Parts: sequence; structure tokens; C-alpha cells
Amino acid sequence: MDKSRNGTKQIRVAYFATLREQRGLSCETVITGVQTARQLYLELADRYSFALTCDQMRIAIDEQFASWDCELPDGASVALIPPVAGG
Amino acid sequence: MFKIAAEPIVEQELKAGLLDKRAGAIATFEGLIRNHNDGRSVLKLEYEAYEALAVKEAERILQECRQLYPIINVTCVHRVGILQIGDMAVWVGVSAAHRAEAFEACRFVIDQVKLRLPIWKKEHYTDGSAEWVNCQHLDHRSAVL
Repeated sequence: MDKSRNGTKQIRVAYFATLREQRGLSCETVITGVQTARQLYLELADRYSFALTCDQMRIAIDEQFASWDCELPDGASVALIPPVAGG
Repeated sequence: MFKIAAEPIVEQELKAGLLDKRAGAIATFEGLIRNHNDGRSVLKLEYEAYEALAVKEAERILQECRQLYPIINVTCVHRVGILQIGDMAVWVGVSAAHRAEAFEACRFVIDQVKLRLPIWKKEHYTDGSAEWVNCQHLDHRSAVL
């Protein structure tokens, strides 16, 4: 595959609540060279000036809660989860 | 059973689903929209959910509830969308043989739902401003640093 040959991957990113508003959309496909979920968020936070830190948030990969240091496979679907406030 | 609902919660239907001949108690919890929070006057709330994950995590909570307490049935519904003052945001119902486990299981479910489900609320205030609860002060603090 061309994607793996040049070391980049396609990641589907979903934004919710305050992140969705700051980004201005609910989801997008990102082409990136990062390895982990943490690196992906830091790249996006830098690009879009997100103020929340990884410590304040959770991440889901393919609809399961995951660790920030989880390696992202090509084609992964990532959801960034700001501090929750249900109920 | 857990559900994310875009329409008003109809308590009677949910309660009917809990009934069982073995049940000597039903405990329910209703979370309502109040007109104030943190000293500010609230006009309405806007709820958003990551539904696919919220449903999975809620099913885990209900499973844990069944393991921890000897109950018969447990149901929870959480609203999304725009809610006005007095509207019901969340409903939990538990049936059990006796009241103690019904009360305790109901409390467990609402506490875990608030803590774990990927659901967010934006408060709209009477002065025209709005904030995502639990997010804004963190953003603000980071922005100041």
C-alpha cells in the first residue's frame, strides 16, 4: 500500500462538545505520521489550539476506550473525549 | 436496558418494563434540568453523546450493577438534544425483591453514568452566554497559563 510505504496513515478523528466547536466540525480524516494516540492529539492540539491536555481527557479507538500510548493502526477511528458531564 | 433518547423520556413505559412478580420494590431516579448552577442562572441545557461508546459503556455499568446487587431488572435512559428547565435528562429504574438493594443499585447506576459515559452538557445562561460543563474552566485555566 502507498500509505504504509511512505510511513503515513489515515486516521478518522471524531470531535465532541467543546472540541467539536473549537475545530468547527464533528469528524475528519487526518493523514499523519504519528505513532500513538497521544502524539496524534498533540499534533491536533497544536494545529487547532486545543487547550485541554491528555490528562484531562480520554480517547477511544474503534469505539473502545484506549490508552493514550496505544499505537494507532492505519485506518483507525479515533474519538477525542473531553471531560464528560452526563446526568 | 440502556438507551440514548432524542425525545422526551416517558417514565410510565420504562417502569412497566421493570415489573416482575418477584419484585417487592422499585427504586427510580430522575435527573432534572434546574434553573441554576454554580451561582449562575440557567436558561436551558444542550446534551451531546458519543452514542456508540455511551451505549457500550452503559451496558457494562448495568452488567456490573447486576453482579454487585441481587436485583431483578435495571433500566437507564439518557436524553440528548436541547432540554428546558424541568425536563428530565436521565432516568434510572431498578426492581428488586427488597428496597435496600433497589436503592443501592439505583444510586450505583446514576453515579457511574455521570462518571463514565461519553456525554456532555452545554449550559446556556440567562445572560446569553454558554459553557460546556467541566470543560470551560479547564480551558480557561490553561489559556491563562
